[in-house]
Amino acid sequence: MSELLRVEHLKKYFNTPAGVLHAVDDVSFSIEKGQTAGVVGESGCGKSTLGRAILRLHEPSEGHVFFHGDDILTYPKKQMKQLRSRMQIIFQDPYSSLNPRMTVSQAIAEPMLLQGTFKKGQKREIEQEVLRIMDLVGLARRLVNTYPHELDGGRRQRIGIARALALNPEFIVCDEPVSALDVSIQAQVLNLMQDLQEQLNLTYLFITHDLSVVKHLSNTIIVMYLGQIVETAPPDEIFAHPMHPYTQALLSAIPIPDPDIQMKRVILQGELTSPINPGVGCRFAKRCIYAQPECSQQAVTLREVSPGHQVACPIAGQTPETA
Amino acid sequence: MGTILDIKRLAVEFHTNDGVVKALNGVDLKLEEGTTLGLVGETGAGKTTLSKAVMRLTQCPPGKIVSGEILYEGRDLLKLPKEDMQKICGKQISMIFQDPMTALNPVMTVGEQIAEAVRVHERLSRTDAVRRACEMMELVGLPAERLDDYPHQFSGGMKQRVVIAIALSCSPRILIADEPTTALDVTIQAQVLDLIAQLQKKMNTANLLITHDLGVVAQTCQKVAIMYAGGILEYGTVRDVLKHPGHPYTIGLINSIPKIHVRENRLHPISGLMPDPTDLPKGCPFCPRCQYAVERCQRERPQAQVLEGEHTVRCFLAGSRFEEEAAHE
Repeated sequence: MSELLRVEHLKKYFNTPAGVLHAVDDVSFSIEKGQTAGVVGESGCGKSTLGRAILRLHEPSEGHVFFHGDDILTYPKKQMKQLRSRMQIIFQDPYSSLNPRMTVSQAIAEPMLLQGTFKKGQKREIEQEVLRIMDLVGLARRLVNTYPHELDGGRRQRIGIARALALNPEFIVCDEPVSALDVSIQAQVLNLMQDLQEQLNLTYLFITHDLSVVKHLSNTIIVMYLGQIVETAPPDEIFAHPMHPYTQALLSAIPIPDPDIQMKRVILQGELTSPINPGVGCRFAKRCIYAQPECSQQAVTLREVSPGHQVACPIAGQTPETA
Repeated sequence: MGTILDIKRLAVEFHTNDGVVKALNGVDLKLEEGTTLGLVGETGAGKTTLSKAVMRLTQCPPGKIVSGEILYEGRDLLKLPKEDMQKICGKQISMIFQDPMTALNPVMTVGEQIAEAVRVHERLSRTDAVRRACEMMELVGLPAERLDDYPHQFSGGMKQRVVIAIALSCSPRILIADEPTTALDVTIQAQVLDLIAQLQKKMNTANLLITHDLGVVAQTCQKVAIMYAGGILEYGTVRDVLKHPGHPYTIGLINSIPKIHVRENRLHPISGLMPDPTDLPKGCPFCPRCQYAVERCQRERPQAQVLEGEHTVRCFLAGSRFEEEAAHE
């Protein structure tokens, strides 16, 4: 298997009136072709910014993004535009990410016209391609001339997926694609994304706040906290042996739909460290029950605890595992 | 344990240009003192319509309460004069709204908004109301010095805590929480649910927790009602409903949740979509999506039948062999 995407020391800082906001701070990871990396974290941890910085929708402040071994951050604008057809994104909210004045077919055809796959005159070819993609994502052909407001959330998200697929991409950033959907519909869309991945050999960066959603889709799970990776491991490993105190808290907080399983919740206390001018130490230290004084003073780096399992905590492994 | 809120045969319609939306079709529901009842359903099931009807917030027109009663301490809330209702809303029955982004007034500081609720209902002086606002802020885990900040300066989760602070500021007897944690992160959700549970113990509030998350129900509720297309399909204790679901919809719902403790390669969604509320099926509303449906399901609407104790199900096939089949899947 070959490596499709490698991110190295990626940083995205925003200048705000209050200071420099470290949204993504020195993040490195890689994804193999045809695989899925699940990025998990809470709101404000920088997971969406990470996804957008990789696609250069936000220009990264520092670091490298290698796509097929090429650093795309060095690409000039024109080359970047060409590359966009191979790297796509599915947005979170199917209610606001679609133009309300475009029909389904216009919305799906738009990326193809913008990228020059077809010219405006090629009406028949475009129509055929739109219908092919609609079949692919499970949208009934009769909906081809409907507007987004006539459709429910699940179908709208299928349009979002169809738009991303319109250019035959290799890599898709999925930014919380099912968070706005009901569970029974969410399962439909997740299954669709799984099928498409197998059919088209797609590579996903799947961003979500819901660990249970990415569990069976991902090959690797990346847990982020305030702009940094705190733990990364294959899903079974991370669920069986969460090492970072934050991952442990995150896992313990997922409500289990079984009244016989009494949850041992690790309720996090304390204040969120501000992502504006954070100090050198561990950003989770203020909320960590195991924190030592030195945790806030020295920088923490990811270290490997077992093959494929990395954690950014100096005392991980010495703390009791709660799972 | 007494019943504090008794909803009987409640039916609500919305008259729109596209036809009559039958949002609630004869809902019966009892809320017991000091307990938490989970109301579970997907978008469009009528959960929010139900909670708004209890608060008399149904917008009419286009909304119309067609029939039914909502008994609170023996009085029908639907027949109370407006002034009496205003004294109950926010003081005795309080509500946490779903969307914290729109529930707050953007041009008032959060402190003013919390104090406003207290001043309206408890005739406190300005200073005392502000002091109470400070306490409430700390109770929901926000630093009191942010009292003078405006909603846009808070994150989504923090805004929801402000909304919760407002709802709890007058120590209500019934708290209706409409998806209170849906917009929040799981660790914050855990804090908020803990907070609501603690408060319930302290003040013996009866909670109506509206959610789509069966996990939240399993961990916080005693009773649960499963709602679909404007009706309650199944009701019972949390253990009965989640461990021995009697309705095909409940079974489908449980199967479609991704489970973190079970290894699975694929999810099991319920096929199809919710029925159009302007054009509900004549028989069982779940019939078009139900894999066990028989001919009778298309013709007749099933009545609630008791399975065991308080566990009731609206399904002709309840208790029959389909449950065993479903269990084997």
